Amino acid sequence: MDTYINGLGLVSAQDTLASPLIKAVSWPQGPIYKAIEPAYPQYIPARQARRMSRFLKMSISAAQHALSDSKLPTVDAIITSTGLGCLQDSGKFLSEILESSEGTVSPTAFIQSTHNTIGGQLALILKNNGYNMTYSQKGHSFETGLQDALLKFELGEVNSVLLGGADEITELSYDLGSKLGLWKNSIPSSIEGFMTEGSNKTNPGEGASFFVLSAHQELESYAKIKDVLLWNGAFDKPLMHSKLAAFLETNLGTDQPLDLCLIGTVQKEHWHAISEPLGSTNCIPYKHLTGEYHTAGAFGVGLGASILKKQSLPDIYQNNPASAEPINSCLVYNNYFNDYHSLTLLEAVEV
Amino acid sequence: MALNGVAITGIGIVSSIGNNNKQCWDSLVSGATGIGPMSILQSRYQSELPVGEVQLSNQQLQEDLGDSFKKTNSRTTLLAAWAMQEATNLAQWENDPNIVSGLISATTVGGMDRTENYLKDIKSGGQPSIREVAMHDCGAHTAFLGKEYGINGFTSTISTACSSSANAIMLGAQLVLTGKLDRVIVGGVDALSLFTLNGFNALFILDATPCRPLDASRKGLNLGEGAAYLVLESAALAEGKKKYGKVVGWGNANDAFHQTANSPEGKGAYLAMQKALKQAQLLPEQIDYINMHGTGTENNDLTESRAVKALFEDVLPPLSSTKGFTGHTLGAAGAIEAVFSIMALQNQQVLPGLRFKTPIEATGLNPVKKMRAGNIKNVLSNSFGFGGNSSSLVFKS
Repeated sequence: MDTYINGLGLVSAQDTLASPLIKAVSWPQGPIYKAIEPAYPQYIPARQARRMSRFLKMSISAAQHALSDSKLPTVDAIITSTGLGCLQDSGKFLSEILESSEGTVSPTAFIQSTHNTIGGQLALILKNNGYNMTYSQKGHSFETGLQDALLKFELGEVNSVLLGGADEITELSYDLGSKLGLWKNSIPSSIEGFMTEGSNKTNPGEGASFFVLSAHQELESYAKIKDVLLWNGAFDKPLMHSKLAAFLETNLGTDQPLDLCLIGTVQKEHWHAISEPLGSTNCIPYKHLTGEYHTAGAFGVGLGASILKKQSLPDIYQNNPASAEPINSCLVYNNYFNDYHSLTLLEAVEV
Repeated sequence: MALNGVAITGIGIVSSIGNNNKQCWDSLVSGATGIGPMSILQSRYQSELPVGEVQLSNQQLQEDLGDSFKKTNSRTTLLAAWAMQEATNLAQWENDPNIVSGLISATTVGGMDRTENYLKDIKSGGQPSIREVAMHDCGAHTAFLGKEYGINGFTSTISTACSSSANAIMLGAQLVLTGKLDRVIVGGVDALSLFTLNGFNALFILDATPCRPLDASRKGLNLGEGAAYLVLESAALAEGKKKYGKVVGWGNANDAFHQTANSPEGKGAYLAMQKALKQAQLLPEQIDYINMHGTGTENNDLTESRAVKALFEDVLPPLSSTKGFTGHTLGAAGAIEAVFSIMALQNQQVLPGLRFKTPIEATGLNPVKKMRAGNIKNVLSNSFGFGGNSSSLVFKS
């Protein structure tokens, strides 16, 4: 069963909500890629928004944007994913407990701290009684949610799915991440400066990426999702090459070229390991736009889908050889802390 | 999709009523509750709020589980490993790269217990190791155990509040039936934490006495902890193995009413049960026992009862909630009650609830009070949660 991306909403550190094909990179002011917050009143009634955390508002906005983009009034299922969930509310409730030594605490932050808060709120707002799931598996949170969505299409259980991945960074999570040795202190201002050699240390980010998936191609469809492959494990070049070759052979055939590859990594070795065997395929990076977070792979898929729809690269990649050839296929490789790898193949829709 | 469901070749459990299948079953038979004062979790509510605590310290769990578990003191990971060990032993699980194996776990707060310990230590001027928070995220225990069991296929964690592990079982069944996995370990875990204890307390839905699910006088739930896992295998792999039952039905719906309260008529619950029966190709009268979500809160028990009455009309099967034994184990509840449901099939016994006296006036349901023999072919198990997440499973002998 073919699955199409028919609607998209990307909230990220770039101005991607209106169009993911941005004209210039907005580099962060500090070591953290903070997301650009959408104009919430466009997406959420003020009365509801007052009670929502920034994370929840960003996610609901991205989801509503994707829905209106798809022009579908509703969907058959809602699948969300997050590596760390509602950090601000969890942290807030935890501090309240500890500050008061388990005294009287307000339940508000607790209520909104569960990982399924986004999925539950979306069901509530859309009055949607359908299938509702939330995945949380580190750097495969979004990708396993995507696999579930594809399974539901394959089984014929759904005609449409609202699928999203979202993570936020808070002061507490940044601080704990620093102590765990995850972050770089430098402020990125170029792709070269963002990617490191021999280290996974990186600049953290956040974002919310939502998709409306459909069993039907529409006039405004972005792309078709061909397949997803996931694996775990430390950097292993031969393994990466064999996974890549087998995946492309299965899904693209031997005679079809791969037109574009989006590489989401913070480390130069990964870049080379993926781009080298692809030969003449145009390869472009994307994690320098978002910073690193568990569901950053969703951003890559969204960007790839947008490029396939517009049949052109955003201006920020203007140094790449411009080509008049159509872009029919786009592979997205995402790497999370060198343990979570994914390959997602997208295809242009036939017009 | 295949109508005869997917075979269960192993079950494992740890809860406040027992450290393994046999101990849990014995407690269900003797009516021994696991609800009591907390001794392992350090909280100011120690003497005020009873809980269903697993009677094994982290150190005991680590020692018995062996060397690879010395690396982690996340109670969530240890409890999960403990129950998974029993389930995989029964299924004669061998790590084998030629078998496509999956792991789908479920939890609501993951390694929160360690994170709160860490922050507590910091607050009191200590210098705790940052490794304490390394297992914080919900996927951490799954990643850790995936390596232990040589998992080479689909690996993920579901976090849909109190329906989490029912959803893990549902997804695992689908992945095996569609041939995407040859076998899969499915289930869930949650350890008691200050976070959840204080959270439910702030919502005023904790009973300061042992809970009374489905009773007119119920005052709330008791929190519990534990883990349970099932091994599901393809028909080819399960051939010749002992089968504990089959997963034949599943339904997932959203109540879409309120973040924490159910709709008055229990719409999500009704839809989940209806979908599960449809998937199992069973009529309501073919269900021989319902293991209710039955938390003991005012709202859940009333709305779930209404949904059950609406679906089953005049042919109500025997039903009960086993949360009077275990407390509400949150992300583990769906899997723990799946194991209980499978035990009901295995032993041909209807499971009792504890401390029930008076039916809820509006619905008049009379849960089973004493374990009794029955001809049990199909069991329905309900799990509902915050965010409107509602899931039901059907198990067949």
